[in-house]
Amino acid sequence: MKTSRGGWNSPCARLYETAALRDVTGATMRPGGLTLTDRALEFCCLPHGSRLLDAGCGVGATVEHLSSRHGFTAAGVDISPELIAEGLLRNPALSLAEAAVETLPFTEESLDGVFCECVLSLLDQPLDVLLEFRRVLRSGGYLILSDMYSRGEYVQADSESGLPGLATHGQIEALLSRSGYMTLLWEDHTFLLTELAARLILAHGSLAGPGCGTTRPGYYLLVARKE
Amino acid sequence: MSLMEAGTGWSCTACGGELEIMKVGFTYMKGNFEVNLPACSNCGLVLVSEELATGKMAEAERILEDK
Amino acid sequence: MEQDKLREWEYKCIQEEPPECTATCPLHVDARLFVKEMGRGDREAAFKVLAKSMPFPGILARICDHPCERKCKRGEVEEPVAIALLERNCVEQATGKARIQLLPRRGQKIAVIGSGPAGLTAAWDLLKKGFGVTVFEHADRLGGSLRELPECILPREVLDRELAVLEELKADIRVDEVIDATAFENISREYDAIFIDRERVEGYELPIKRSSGGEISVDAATGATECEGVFAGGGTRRHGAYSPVNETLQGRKGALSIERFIQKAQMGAGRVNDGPFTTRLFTNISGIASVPRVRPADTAIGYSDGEALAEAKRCIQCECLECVKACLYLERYEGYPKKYARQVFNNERVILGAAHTKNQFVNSCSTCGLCEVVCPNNFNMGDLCLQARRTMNGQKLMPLSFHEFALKDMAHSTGGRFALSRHEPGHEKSEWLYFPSCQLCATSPGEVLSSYRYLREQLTGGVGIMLGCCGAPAFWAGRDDLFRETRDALRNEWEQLGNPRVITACSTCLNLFREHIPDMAPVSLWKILEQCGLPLKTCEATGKTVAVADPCITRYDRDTQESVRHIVHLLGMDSEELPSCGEKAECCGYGGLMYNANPKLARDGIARRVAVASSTDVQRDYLVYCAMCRDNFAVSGARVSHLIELLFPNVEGGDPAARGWISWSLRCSNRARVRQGILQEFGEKEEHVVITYENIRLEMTPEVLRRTDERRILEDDIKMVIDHVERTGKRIRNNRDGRYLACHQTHNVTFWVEYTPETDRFTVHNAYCHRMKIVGVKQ
Repeated sequence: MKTSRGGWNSPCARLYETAALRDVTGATMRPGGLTLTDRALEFCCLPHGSRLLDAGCGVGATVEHLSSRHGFTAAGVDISPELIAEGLLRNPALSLAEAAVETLPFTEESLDGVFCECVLSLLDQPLDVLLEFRRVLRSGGYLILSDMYSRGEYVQADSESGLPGLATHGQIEALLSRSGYMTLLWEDHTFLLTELAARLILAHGSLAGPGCGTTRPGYYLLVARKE
Repeated sequence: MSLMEAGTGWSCTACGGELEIMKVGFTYMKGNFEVNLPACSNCGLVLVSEELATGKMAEAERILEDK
Repeated sequence: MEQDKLREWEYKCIQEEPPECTATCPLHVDARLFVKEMGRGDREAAFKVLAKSMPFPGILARICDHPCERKCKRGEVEEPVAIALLERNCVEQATGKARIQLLPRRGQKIAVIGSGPAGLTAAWDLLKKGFGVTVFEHADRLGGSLRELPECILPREVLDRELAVLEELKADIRVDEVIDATAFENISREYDAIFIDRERVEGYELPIKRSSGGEISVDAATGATECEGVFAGGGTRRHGAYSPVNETLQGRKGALSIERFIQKAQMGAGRVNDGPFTTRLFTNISGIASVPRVRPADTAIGYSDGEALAEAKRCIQCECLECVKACLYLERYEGYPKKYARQVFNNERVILGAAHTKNQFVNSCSTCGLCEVVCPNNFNMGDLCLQARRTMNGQKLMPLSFHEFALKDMAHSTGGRFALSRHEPGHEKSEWLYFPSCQLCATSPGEVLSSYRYLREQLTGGVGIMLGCCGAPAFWAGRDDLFRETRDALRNEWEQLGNPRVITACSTCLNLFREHIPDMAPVSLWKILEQCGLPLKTCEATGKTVAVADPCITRYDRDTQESVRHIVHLLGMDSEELPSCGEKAECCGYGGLMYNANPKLARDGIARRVAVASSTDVQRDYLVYCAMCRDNFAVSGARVSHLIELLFPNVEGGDPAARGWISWSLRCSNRARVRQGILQEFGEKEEHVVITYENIRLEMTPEVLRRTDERRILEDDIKMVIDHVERTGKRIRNNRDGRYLACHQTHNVTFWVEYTPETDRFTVHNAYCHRMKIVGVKQ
């Protein structure tokens, strides 16, 4: 997760500032840390040495996990040069590069899997990005998404707080099918988000006041295959 | 009750040792949490202040209850 | 909750129904919102509201005959809001242009013959729907009858400007076109459908069936003529019933019918709300002050800006919200029952990732039923919430914290330190059984014992005693399992005593027994006292006036309410009726376990009632006949006494209204006192099982006592912590003041106590608790 976002009832983006979040989540900067990454790997059964990309990799926690823990050929890109630099400082052996997820520095059909963890919901043109992932994935390659979603109706973007809109389960699946993927797995992991919220409160104090109108966002893990 | 003065200002009556800031684990409604708190490294006694219990902790409990 | 059940609930709440003005308007203009924007002085926003429903708002707003005003609720107070004048003021001065949202272009072409209000509206609507539209007009320009209106009503310049919109929307406009049978045939062939504005076609020879009066016959609901694909409307002016807005409606109906004709959709389906309809919205106008309608200083010009503003502010902004006005709980969650029902429905769905964010909401309702009384459709939020609580329990999704304390208190009442059932000594049978209730024993132990003695003196055939809990907390918590278990145990005990008639001093018990163990034929203590007379020594209160606060549970129990008032008069006092009496009784915050799930709401609720009462000139003592009402009024600082305290005074000459609040710990020991008192009177001895921490003596200042009580920490909890850590030595010490701090983790709660040991007791400085479990120090 690269930038701040909130959505618990009222703007609370402040609490998701990178520093506060890093404090609580460590290097992964997202709910659940690496648990959903591992859950997806277990589901996909990728062979050893598979070529994987983490799009929006931050400081490269997932890339490190994929290569040193699981023995994959893993790379990561992120738009932030600071995070890439920090990641390389932590572990110079990692294959990290500064790049936008809209224009990946990979050739057509060169990857077996793309991870995009807690990034897609922050982007203005998710369809373009999904098509870009499709370009670099080999046929039958996996796309692994974990992100926030709306458990009620579509949540409009809020220009005042800078919060992007939040798509529903149905909208996300429709987007994937439109961009040429077949969804293989959808799992709700909202509890990880709730737990993260509670951790943030414990570490940094109050979120926004107790509202009643809006529904809190949910969190999902999705695995799809390029058709 | 300021806990962040020189030392924690608290001692353990079981072993007589000073409490020091340590990582303390909590659990509630299937969630796992860690908080840095004064604790006795010998006996494992910890200190949850009134402020923490009725403030951040109560709020985190509510979030987990209304999940 | 099933989807159809949700619909039923939603249908009951009428808050989202349109106001009279909108329902009456053939075009359903949101006049309420329009007037609101005018009242805010935001004319551009007001204009947008008009433009949303009106074709050619600049024209229609000037010429509309405004049936809305005839139904305006303000008219029932004195005179309707001058919507017509406000609309004129708006369209004359608004600079904004209606932004017309067009649907994607469709291939079909529609002909509109005649350009009076109906024809123009049909053209406008069809263009918006994406059709290609050609308007045929025999005159040299569009407008038809609109051109005959006086300049002061509809200036030509406005008319031309508004009609220019058609060209912007790419309508094909053909003026000076004479439509005869041949031309009509050509049009029929060239176009996919036709709309005829009847006001301009009297002279035409069209091959369409006409009435004896020469009018083209149409189906009233759809505007369809005999001829397939040909629709007609308008032209009512010749018959003296001219209504511009109805002309417009006929054009609109025609356009909708043409769309359906093209799509081959059901022509008549779902059109009941085409045109005026009856709304179900209820708006309470009692108490609305009369404000005379603003007359424009210059009728020729219409309203000045100031006048328009003042007139717009007369609007009541019709809405129901009867329940929300009456209930702090419903108000606090910023919605109304229809919205709440949807939220509760979403909350309890067990689909993956359902948002359980309404848990506290569902558990905060006192279930008192006031909403049902004030609702025009008897919506009962309590029923909805209780049902949701049962579902949550069934799904194992109910967080413990919402009811744990209340259920623990209930367990105390059904447990060995209180529960008891006996025949009267010297009797082998009981004609009667006194069930004073757990909470009354908790607040007034001495009075309960006296009242039992009195009943034994007055009634024959044996008056047995039963101490216990009726199960209300379990019922309110949605714990059907626990409730049934408690009820069955009670019924069993009662049958063992030979099915005596039950006398209870608690209205909640009375109500619950009536509903769930009707064979008990329960009767209130007050009814019995009314019948067999009051005790000789009652409280000295003659001449006093008390404000009788009926408990919410007696809402439909007029009989009990009257018995109480009768007794008040027999005591020589006068009773004053509060606004929330009888059917409109409010809950003190105990009902539905609100005090446990949402203590702040419960406190605020009672505080609001006390504040309203204390703003009046004369402040009366409250007289209640529910133990929890007594305590909750007392906690909020009001002077209050329970009827039993007046009837069976414990301290001679004492002032029961000065007793103040009672801690939850004291409530427990009071209950034990009643049990022990009865056993003593019966000459029974009981082996007392001493709990290890029982002999610990505590010292607490009133502030500490109050604070810990508000945190629902009992003295027993504190004693348990101290007992535990004094034995294990597992406590920590503050180096500065030498005080000890220690905790003990029970099953669900961790209690912390800050204390100093003295020679024979412990001074407690503070106590608090949390539910998060300490796992331990991480190495």
